[in-house]
Amino acid sequence: MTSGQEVSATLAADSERLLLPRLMVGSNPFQGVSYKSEALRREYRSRFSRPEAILEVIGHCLELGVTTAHCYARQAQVEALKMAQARYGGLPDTVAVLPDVYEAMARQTGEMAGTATREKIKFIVRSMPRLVSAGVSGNVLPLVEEVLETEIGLVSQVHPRIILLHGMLADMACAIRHRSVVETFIKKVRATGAVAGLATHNLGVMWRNLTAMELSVPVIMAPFNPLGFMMNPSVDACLDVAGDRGSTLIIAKKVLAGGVIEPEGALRYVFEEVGVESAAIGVATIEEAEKTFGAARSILGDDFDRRYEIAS
Amino acid sequence: MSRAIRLAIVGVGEMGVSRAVVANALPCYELVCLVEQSRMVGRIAARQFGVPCYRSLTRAMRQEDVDAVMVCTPPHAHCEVAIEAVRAGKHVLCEKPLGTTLPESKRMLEAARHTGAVHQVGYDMRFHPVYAKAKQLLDSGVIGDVRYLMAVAHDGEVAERVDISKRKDLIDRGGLFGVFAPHVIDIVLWYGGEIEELAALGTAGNAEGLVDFASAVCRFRGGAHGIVDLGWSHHGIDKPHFNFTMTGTKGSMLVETDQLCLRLQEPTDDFGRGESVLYGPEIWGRTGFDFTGKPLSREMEAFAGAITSGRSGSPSWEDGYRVDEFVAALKATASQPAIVSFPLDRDEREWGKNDDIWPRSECYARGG
Repeated sequence: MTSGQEVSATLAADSERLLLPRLMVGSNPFQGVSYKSEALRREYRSRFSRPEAILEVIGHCLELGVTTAHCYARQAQVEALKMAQARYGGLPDTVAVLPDVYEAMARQTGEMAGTATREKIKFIVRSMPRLVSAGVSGNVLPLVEEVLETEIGLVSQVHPRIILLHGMLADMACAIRHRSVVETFIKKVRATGAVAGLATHNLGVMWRNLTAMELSVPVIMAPFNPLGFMMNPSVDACLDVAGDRGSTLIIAKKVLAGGVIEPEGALRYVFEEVGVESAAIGVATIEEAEKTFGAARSILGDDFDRRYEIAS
Repeated sequence: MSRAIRLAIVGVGEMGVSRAVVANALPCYELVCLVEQSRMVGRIAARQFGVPCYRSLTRAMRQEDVDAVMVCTPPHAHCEVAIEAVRAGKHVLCEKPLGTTLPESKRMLEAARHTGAVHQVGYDMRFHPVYAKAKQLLDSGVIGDVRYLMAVAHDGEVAERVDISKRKDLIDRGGLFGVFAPHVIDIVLWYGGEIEELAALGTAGNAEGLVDFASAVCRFRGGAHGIVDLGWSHHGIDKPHFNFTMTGTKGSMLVETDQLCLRLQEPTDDFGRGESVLYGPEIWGRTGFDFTGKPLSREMEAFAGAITSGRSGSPSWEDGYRVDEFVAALKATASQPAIVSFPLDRDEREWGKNDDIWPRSECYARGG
């Protein structure tokens, strides 16, 4: 097995450029997300509350040649990425998704797990649709801005190359054509030197509304998998966007449909049938990393290490 | 109806705004107006959604050409608003619970029956792909005649709660019986059918005596044995767990949010003998607009489908009434143990006078 120092010597060359890789390590397991069972969610939450556990997985992915990791603004993930970057010569590159509203607000109130705080945060999160929809005139934009600033401050410790607006906010803003939320986000992200993009669970609807608002983004992260899981409003609509998206690059997510399909078929689908540039795949163990990214290497061959220029 | 359904949303709170967002994204709807009593909220919402906002439904229906109304007000206003809408011939989706008292729910149901309008109640768990698949499999007879149904719903909503204002809000909304129980009960009745009799026990899990745990044993009309265990003050739970176990004459089915597990005695065309697991993503299907991962858009698509095809809404207000009836019996026997026979309206003296299904006082356990 390659040592950490060798990995960094081999792969650090690309790290200064603003490029989109073919593969990145997804963060769902580190977030405690599973689509298979509550037991797995509990296990992920417990194990990945320690940065060292995240580092172990990310470190192994680096050794497999996956040099970019996806993250949320969570302390354990940021700490793990900082440790990895210190150990592996600045790698992995990071792609952040903001905001993680619960965590951001817990930080703002100065504690992470107090019951009273948790309740306040839950209340605010439940109110988010109303708050966001109220828009500028309802004095909500400052709240969104504050959350974004807090989160950007946290993830900037790991120098993200791309920062995506979380799907819930991005979908809502696009559905009601709330242009100012998207523009505010883009402006704030650009000020950090990163590329701003959008995450979505509704690619077809988002694309239609972005077009109507005459907004374009260089990167969109959206579900693509052979089961059509979360490809809304339909598989065909998502494939239509993928086939006619100009210079916008796509990062596929939910590639393994929540872990219920095998990597080989899923990767062939996203890279060969859909033709996305990049895929983010969460792995929770070294074995999963080897199986998933091993399959990717055999499918992509030399293309595994390809990077795409991101339109400014 | 070939054009989009012209929709009015009454109440611009969390649910009203969420539905307005979804309606904007679904091509089957055209949001034509909002109704909100608060001038400030109404002004902001009108500007944001680009539609007029009225202070009363009466005015909205006079000014706008409306096909359907979604009632997203606090529960105490459901009855009057929903009845006004159905009497005006509008199709109505009313948030849960249907009414705040059994007589209210009954009035709503009677009003809807006489109009021919599509009426639906907002029990959106039915539209979650895993719970919906379980219903489809039950109806197909894959586990045979159901003899046993157990529903376990646990949450950590009020464990260690110290926020008094939040607790007051939960009590005002009916406590465990009003906030937490109805969605689960709707699924229990959807899967198991009508209830014949029920007995329950309720217990406080906190210093204030609020009922935090309620368990019912019941008999379904078909003879099946039912157990419903509700608790929202369990520790270490940050998301509610809803688990259903059904055992029939040919096998068992275990259903939770992420997966459905079948254990069959004999193979069928689709499943082998022994255990088969279906995960959510395998049966997810598509929706016009996934919002926050909840089945809200699927529910709204079903409502639109019922309107355009002339079908009945499902869950209907009749289903909503049955849930209210179950909850009323559950709450009454949780504090005063007794066996209750259904339907409750056979004895108007007992259930008609003590109107409130969820009076604050009865959110408390005995001795609390």
